Amino acid sequence: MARLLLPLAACSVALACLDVRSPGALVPPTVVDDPALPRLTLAVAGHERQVHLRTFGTPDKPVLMVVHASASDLRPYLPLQVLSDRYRVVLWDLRGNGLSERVPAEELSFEVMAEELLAMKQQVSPDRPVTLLAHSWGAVIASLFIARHPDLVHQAVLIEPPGLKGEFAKKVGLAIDLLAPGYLDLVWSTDLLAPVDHETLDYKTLMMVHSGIRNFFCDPEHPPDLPLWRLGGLALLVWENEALQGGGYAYDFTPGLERFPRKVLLVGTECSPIGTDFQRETNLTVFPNAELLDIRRSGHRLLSEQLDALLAGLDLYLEPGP
Amino acid sequence: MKRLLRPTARGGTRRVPGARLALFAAFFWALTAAAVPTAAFHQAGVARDEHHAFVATFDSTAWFTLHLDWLHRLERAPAGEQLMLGAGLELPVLLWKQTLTLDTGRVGGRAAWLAFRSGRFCLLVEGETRVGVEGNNLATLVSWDATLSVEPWLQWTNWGFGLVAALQQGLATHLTPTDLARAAYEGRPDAALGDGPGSGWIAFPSRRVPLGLAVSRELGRLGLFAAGGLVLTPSNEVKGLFDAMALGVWPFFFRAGVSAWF
Repeated sequence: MARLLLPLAACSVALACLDVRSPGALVPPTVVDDPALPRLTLAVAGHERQVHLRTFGTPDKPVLMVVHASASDLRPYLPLQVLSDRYRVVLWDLRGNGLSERVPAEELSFEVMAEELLAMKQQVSPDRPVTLLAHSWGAVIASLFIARHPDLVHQAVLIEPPGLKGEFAKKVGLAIDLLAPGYLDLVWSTDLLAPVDHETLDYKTLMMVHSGIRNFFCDPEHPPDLPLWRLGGLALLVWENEALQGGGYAYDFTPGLERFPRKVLLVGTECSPIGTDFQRETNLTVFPNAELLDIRRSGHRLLSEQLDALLAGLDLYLEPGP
Repeated sequence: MKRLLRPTARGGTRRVPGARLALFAAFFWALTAAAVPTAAFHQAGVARDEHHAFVATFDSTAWFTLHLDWLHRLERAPAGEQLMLGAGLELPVLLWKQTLTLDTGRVGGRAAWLAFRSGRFCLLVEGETRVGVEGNNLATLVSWDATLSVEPWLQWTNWGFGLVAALQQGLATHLTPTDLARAAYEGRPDAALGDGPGSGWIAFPSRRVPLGLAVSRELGRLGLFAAGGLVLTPSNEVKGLFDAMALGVWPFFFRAGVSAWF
């Protein structure tokens, strides 16, 4: 603290000083720092953590839990509140992501994330199975939950999960553009502002998401808007590191999925490297009962690009149930 | 090693204190003892006779960054000391080519000092301070940093091999957020804190520690050099070697270049 106080004191005498560690300086504050944000406390992995939560619809309706992607928060999924005529729609920022409490790396493993889904389900729908709608790595976490607790899930919509096992992930081509100017800016800025704590990690993750490094758009020159508040930098690194152990994809989240009897809706898009064709060849094969919804003229940011087409497909699949 | 053991009065042996250290020192002296008439090394080349140098360095930062430096030997340096001062530019050429905008770069001053020399062995200390500017999608940044590098070298007539150990410390960065950064604070109807991102100076915004190997080759008035290795980025949240290339933290560096002396 003393190391920080002296330069800050000197700085503030001369010029306006920015303490990047103060809440809200670089990225919006989390529920820990802003008491006004709606939240829920979940006990997972031996710790009670607060998550930022938004719900739509009345408590008497069956629950739809929305699980966001990596390098994201619940903000892009807010339009799904239109489903609140049939469901109580529960959106939350996963631990370590969005405006939820920041946690250490050991509380961010995929197993712990699946435990968080269980803890959330027990809070919002203790007596009924839930419907899951999950996107990208959120869909991987949801699949892990389905495999562990098939009786707790009524229906599941999985939007473009990356390979549910390592051998699937290896089939994805190089979907990153390391020459994107936004990424070169990101690298250059490491000397100017290094991502070494949660605030700067999350700030740099936001910079990365808008950098153009991820090439999963129909028009890479004009990617769709993606409204975000705050991203989980450490969570992204932990998940990617867990998936890429020993330099290769060596994970398998499929054991147990064969026990899920009800139909799963997999969603793929035209332009994403993990889109319709990829889903058909890989993840569709691990579920005993699954259907593939193909969304045209869209990339991985489906909810920003073709929300109406997604909702039309969901209308044909979703049955709110008991 | 038996020669390092001294016989005792009772017929046994006991170790000579410091024997192994003495043996190592002797080996090191033998390796480095031959004096090199022109110990030209590294892009600083402080032991050359020429007074000026232009140096062009390719650096792996942002895949291709070009450094252009000019160095001048201080003629009034005290006898026995070798000191060069200079200045330079740092240009992210690939980024410029991609964006066609010249909103990112650095200028700085350098000093190189031959701190110690004995036979083939010499110790070079370099200091550098830079002022930079960057326009990215979240902010316009103005930065000031300093680097201290310590490089022990072994030098033969035309070849040199060395180690690089440096501390690159960000001193201050001024941040002015863009509209995209401000947009991250919108649409939070329940929030009580955080009207928008801050703008101002950030103290000690970064610290990086490059560690690596270097090699040099002299060709008349030209000096060729290359260095590469790891870059440690101390972090409060990420343990160990902080490799997060997805977030722009590269755990390695490479540079190569040529110096022209006159």
